[in-house]
Amino acid sequence: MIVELGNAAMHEIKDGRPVPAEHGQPAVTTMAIDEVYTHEEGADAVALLRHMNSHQQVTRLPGHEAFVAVVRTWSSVSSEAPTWVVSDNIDMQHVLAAYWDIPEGYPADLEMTHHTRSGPPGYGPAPEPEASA
Amino acid sequence: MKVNGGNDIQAAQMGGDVVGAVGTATGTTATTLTDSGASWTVNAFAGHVVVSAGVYGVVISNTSTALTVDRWNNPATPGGSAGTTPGNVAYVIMPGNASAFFVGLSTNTTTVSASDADLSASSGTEITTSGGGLIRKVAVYTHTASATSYVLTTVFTANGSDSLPVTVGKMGVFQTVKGATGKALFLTLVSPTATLSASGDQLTLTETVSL
Repeated sequence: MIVELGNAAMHEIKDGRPVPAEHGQPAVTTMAIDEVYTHEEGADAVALLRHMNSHQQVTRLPGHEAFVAVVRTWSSVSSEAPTWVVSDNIDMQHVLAAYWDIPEGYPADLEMTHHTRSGPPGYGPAPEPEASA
Repeated sequence: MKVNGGNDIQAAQMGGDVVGAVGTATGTTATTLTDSGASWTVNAFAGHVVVSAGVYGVVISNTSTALTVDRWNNPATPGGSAGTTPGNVAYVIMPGNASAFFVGLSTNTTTVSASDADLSASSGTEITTSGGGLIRKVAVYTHTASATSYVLTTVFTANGSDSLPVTVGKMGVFQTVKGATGKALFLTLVSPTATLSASGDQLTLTETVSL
């Protein structure tokens, strides 16, 4: 499973402390998750939110290992909630969108505004033009 | 902390350890591949990846004619069940070194020394309970485009096979999934220690690696 998240406040760990990225621009955070991580479909995002907020070190969500990994990792890479989410697992995409109350899908101008796998903003391929009537 | 052996792994990963090999196997098992016609330098391929018949293994050691691997892995789910042992067919030993994305646990809390090779250092013992949920596991890999770091996150869920309660004190990052084989890249104290008391309890560990 791949999860991609819009990261408008990326930070990095330097000398044990989070510091903002020098370029100050949005970037895509990518998570690669082996299928051994459990993911039970149809989870209630509100219930997951309550559980995560009330269990700081040891959680009890055995059917939601992938979700726990994504949420627990996020604070290591960003100072704010993600701005959008895309996943090849649509159910996971829905759950994360509901959990953070963020839109699903890429921004239309992704390559112009974000650091991506292709490179810095403006370096990657331009979006395909919309078909005209 | 990156231990001394981890420097060797990282150098080979990033620099390339540029010489690989190709051939046809003359014998294979669940953890070995033999090419009776080879004349390899002993242990020259430790840490390399050998690919054959749609599966791959991480080389633990090698003689002049045989590789010992952790097991045969399915590339689509390297943390899942072992793949099918390849037959006597073509193989490729790739240049470079295998990624390190498996995390193991120990109850040991002794300060990590750079000379530690794995979780057995300083009288420690890696948790290798058969069927348990706290055995070595593939991590979730996270990277933000352009960032000078990446994060390995592992969620361990205790189950009925584990001896509970258990207090986790140390973690290690390895190239191989099979417990207690292969040297570590990183060894890190879990701070604060975490106690898992019942089946279903989960521990999430994150290792942020600066590049």
